[in-house]
Amino acid sequence: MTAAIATLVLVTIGVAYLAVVDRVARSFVAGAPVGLATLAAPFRDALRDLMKERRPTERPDPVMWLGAPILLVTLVFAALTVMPLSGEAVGSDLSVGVVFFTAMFALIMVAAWAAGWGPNSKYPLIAGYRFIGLMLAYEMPFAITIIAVALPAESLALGKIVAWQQAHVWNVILQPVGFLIYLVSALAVAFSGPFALLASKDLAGGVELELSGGPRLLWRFGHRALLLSTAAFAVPLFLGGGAGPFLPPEVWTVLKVLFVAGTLALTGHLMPLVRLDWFMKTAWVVLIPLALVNLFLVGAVALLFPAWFGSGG
Amino acid sequence: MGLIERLRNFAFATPTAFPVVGAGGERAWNRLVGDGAVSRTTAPHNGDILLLTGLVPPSWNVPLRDLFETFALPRAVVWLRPAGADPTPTGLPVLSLDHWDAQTVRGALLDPAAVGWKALHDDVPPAEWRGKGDYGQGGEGMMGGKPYGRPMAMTMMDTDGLNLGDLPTGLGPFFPHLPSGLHMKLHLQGARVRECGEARFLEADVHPDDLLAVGVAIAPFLRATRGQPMAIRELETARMRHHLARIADMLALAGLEGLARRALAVAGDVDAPTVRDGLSEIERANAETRFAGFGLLDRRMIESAGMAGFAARAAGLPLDRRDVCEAYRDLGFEPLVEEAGDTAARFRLLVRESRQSLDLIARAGDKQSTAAETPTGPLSETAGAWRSATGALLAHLPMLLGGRLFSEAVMIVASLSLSNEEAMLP
Repeated sequence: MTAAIATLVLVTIGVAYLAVVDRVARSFVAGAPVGLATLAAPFRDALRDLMKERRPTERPDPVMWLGAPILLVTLVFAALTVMPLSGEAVGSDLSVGVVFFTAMFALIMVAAWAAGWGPNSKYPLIAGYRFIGLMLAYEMPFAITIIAVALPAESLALGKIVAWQQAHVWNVILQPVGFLIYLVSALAVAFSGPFALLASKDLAGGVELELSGGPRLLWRFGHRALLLSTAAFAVPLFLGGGAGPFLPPEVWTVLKVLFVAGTLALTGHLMPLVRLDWFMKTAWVVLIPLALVNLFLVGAVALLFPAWFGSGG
Repeated sequence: MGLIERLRNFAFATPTAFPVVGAGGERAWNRLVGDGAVSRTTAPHNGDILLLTGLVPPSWNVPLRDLFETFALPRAVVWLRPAGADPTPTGLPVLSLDHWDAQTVRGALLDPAAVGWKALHDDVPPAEWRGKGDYGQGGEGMMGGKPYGRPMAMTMMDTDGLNLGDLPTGLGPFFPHLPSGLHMKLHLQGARVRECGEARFLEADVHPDDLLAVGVAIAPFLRATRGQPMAIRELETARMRHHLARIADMLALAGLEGLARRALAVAGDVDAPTVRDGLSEIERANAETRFAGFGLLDRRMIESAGMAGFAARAAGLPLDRRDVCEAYRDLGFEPLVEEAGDTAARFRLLVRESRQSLDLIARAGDKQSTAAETPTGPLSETAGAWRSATGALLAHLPMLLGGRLFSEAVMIVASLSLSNEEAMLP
């Protein structure tokens, strides 16, 4: 129960942080002054959503429509149960933690599709299946890089992956290409930054077009929490978990998560949305082969230097 | 003031507006967004204010009412009325203002007794839903047509040889980041536009003198067309503002919202160093990669259609009436061209021509010209009938949009620099 409350509080703070980063970055790029009003804007928006009426569309699928934001938030929190803040502070240190959180992220697709289908409206629907079209292109490199990270530790438990990095070397140094592929595909999983195709302006807002009131707030909360969580898993997978001098490991983990999440959030203001055809081609021709080469290299090192591998060395 | 009221004032201090930009309304809108007085939404459900700027032709009233009806409460319609604009849009609970007054707007927005809070339509479906009909319509084996008033998809072969539902639908007349009043009839197959049946602006037929009275953006060009010498500074300032607003639309469609706001802010400013910095930032963002390779309007198509102006220059044809004007030639003017003719080429040309306008403004002094070249292209009048580049481009839209992805189709339209003010001319 305590872990659940702590997760809720931390995620809410993280979401607020991402909303503020987003606003500040937008104002900065726009050349507008950044002041108290900029910092207050995300809270103003959230309050505004709570005070807005919820508008129905004609003949929506209410279960899918309302279920989408609930499913999104549920999946994010479910994934975060295996996220270790430190060796001790972890909701559930499953022996297959890696499989569990990637499975939760794979199911995000269902929430995205439901959000597109639910309102019975053409632009959300197009946004929904556009996202589905991208799925294989980003899920494959995402999964392959995670397998390559689990290989040195010879374990699918996040705690053991962190322990191996702390005993040997951080995966970001051992597999820098894998880290970059992870970040790109994490952005796509979280439909954020250049992959924010689910709620883009070229579809008049996509799945957010027909949302108003509480469900809109919940969807947007879930969306930011998803970006936060995909960024969060980069820390135990690549950045040595809570390793760092002077501060407690929990603090180091939180600082690293905020840094990665903030960096990912900035990309949306610096890079245009990707083209669907371009990304699919790049994913199949560049990202997936690169991720496989990364995996084979790590595998080769594991065969050549078996003593160096294994949990905790 | 109670707590709820305080929270409400805080929440709606910067209202979210869905803009509908009429003739002569672009500058007011750019200024509001640039100053951060309102934030923009592309989703009416999420809007607080339906913000009308400029002259609104009567033919827009019914679609505007339907649009406003989708706004969630609290909501209001605000019309930023330009001096000399008449008549007031009807059928809507309009708060008419000469200038932006945040307090008055918030008052209208948050007052539950305001007319804007009441439903304009009865909340009934447009046609009764009766499920499967006597001949199978509405059920399995959809056969097209409009059973019970609803369009039904009919399967057709798509480009990959698959049988895919074909959905007849409309785009506009107030689609975000496209000129207000533009309406298109499309057939969608998945995310692709199979066919664009028609592209036109809602009928307006406004007398040019009425457009001049409200200070439309094309006013200097209208006067030049009538043979009145206009200051080159004024012509080029209008061109640059128009281009920057189109750049902002394209950037927003490419997902670069902050940069789009910057383009709008400098469009309202027209201070040379600020605009130059803004344009450099836009070039650095490399947004054109999002637009490359589609929306091709090449040299051959332009020549066979006898088109000129902005789209022609983006396809490598240096067709510009300023080229034959002595005052412009004295300034060393030469038409800028791009070769590719696609959406990216038009985006690049918008940026380059904005910079060229800045240079011309700096060097023009008090030189005057009658070159009737609007930001979109040549404008002419024969016996009261006006011909504009917008009209010529509209005729080619169906050919350009057919077979494109929906998102590409929207970007193609945004890149053509269409002007609803030109379309309002008789």
